[in-house]
Amino acid sequence: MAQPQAPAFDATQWLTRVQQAAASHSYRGTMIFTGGGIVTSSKVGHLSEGRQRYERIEVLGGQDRQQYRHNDVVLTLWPRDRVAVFEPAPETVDFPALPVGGQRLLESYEVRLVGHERIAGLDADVVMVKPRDAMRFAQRLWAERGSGLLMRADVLGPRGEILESSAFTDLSLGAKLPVESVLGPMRHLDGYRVVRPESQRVQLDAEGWVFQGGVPGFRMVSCARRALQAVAGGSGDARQVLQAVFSDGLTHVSVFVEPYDDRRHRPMRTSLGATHTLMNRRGDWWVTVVGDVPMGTVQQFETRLQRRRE
Amino acid sequence: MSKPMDETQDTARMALSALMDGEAAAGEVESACARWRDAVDARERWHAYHLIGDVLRSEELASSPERDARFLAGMRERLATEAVPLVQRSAATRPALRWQTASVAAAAGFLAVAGVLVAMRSGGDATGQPAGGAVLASASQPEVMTASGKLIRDAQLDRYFSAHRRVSNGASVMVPGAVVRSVDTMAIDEK
Repeated sequence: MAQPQAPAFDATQWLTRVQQAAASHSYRGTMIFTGGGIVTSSKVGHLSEGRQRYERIEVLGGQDRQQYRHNDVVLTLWPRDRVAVFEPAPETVDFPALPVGGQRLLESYEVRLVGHERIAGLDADVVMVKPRDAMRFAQRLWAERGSGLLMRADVLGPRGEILESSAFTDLSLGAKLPVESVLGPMRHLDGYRVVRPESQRVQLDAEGWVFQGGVPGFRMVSCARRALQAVAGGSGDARQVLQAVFSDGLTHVSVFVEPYDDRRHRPMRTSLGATHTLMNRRGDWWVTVVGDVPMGTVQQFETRLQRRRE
Repeated sequence: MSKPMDETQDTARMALSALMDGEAAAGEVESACARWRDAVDARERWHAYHLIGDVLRSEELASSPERDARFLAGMRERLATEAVPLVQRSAATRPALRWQTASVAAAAGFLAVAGVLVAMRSGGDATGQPAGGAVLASASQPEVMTASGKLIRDAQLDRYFSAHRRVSNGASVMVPGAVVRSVDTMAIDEK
């Protein structure tokens, strides 16, 4: 693919480096998320030691929540409700992108270096990831120059307005998270109700569904049957839904399918920050599409989902 | 594959803009209103324009990287020296959805557009679709409704968001630690 940028900037290489940095470096810091008029902050720590990875996220404000990760196991704790949810780390986030991941992104986006800035006291490259069509949002990314660690990501709307932003306001690269601060909480769960929602991979067509034509740039990266868990791990009415996840190399769309229930289901569309959602009835089925993409793209996913003719 | 939003959208958008700014000619007002009635996207945008109009009056608020970097540097210093309550909600307070916090954030120059949670309910079009048949976008346009944490919980949207977040880690796959995002928090807080 021809790259019109200045020869010094290799987009594929830069993207690969950024993808790998989050997994391979140790760091601690505070991250602020703004979007949909809401501001939340989290204390984040990540330790990479040989093949071991440890991570800890504490959300400040709102209802307490802590997340711990050791390699491929993730624990979310809700101290107020005393609920502990164990889940496998999602594959799509786990592995650093291989070069082919970077190439996929370049199919749908153009990547350009647009500047250098200091952020949270560190030097960063600023890169603009511009979509090649109107099916997805642009992003502006700040990556620390030495490590490639992504320090800030802004999702931009069609007029360049910031739809949402995640940014480190302070970052200590190389700072080590104590291993016990992750393993301890993962082991000591006295008084907690422990929940282990299950999911199993399935074939979309075996479940009776197909996508007519594709949605440009997006490919399915996973399809599973899983229980939808209430966010705070509350009630026990975890329903089984089919979740098919699509990616364009940068962002994701989830398509959920479950049996229609007229007591609960109401068609609607919502928009919050960069996230758009559509819920609609399709005969005996209820379809929900969630994506960090424009509403039109979410609608295309819903339209193109078809029941297979037997 | 054709782009979903092209000329019609642009024309509609410009007409709405003109209407918003009080610059539309008489004929334009009528057609903009007609478009508004019929096109849910136009209504959504109208709603959004109104809600964020005040905040976005100035071109300045369209952030420049330098400005944001300065803000972040300032924010970092503040965080180091004082306990800044970034999430200003208690269980008793219903978040005046996005608007007030948007003003706070935007006033700091950090956000150009806060975005708005808009739920559109499909008007009575709950009839089943022909099994296996091709289904195109519904002809009946849903109304624009202001949503709330309650709506999210009633529709159990938080569960879908949460399941989506698990695999997507936010709109950018590369952001470390940005697992927890707004809607999860918002849905939880409104108890």
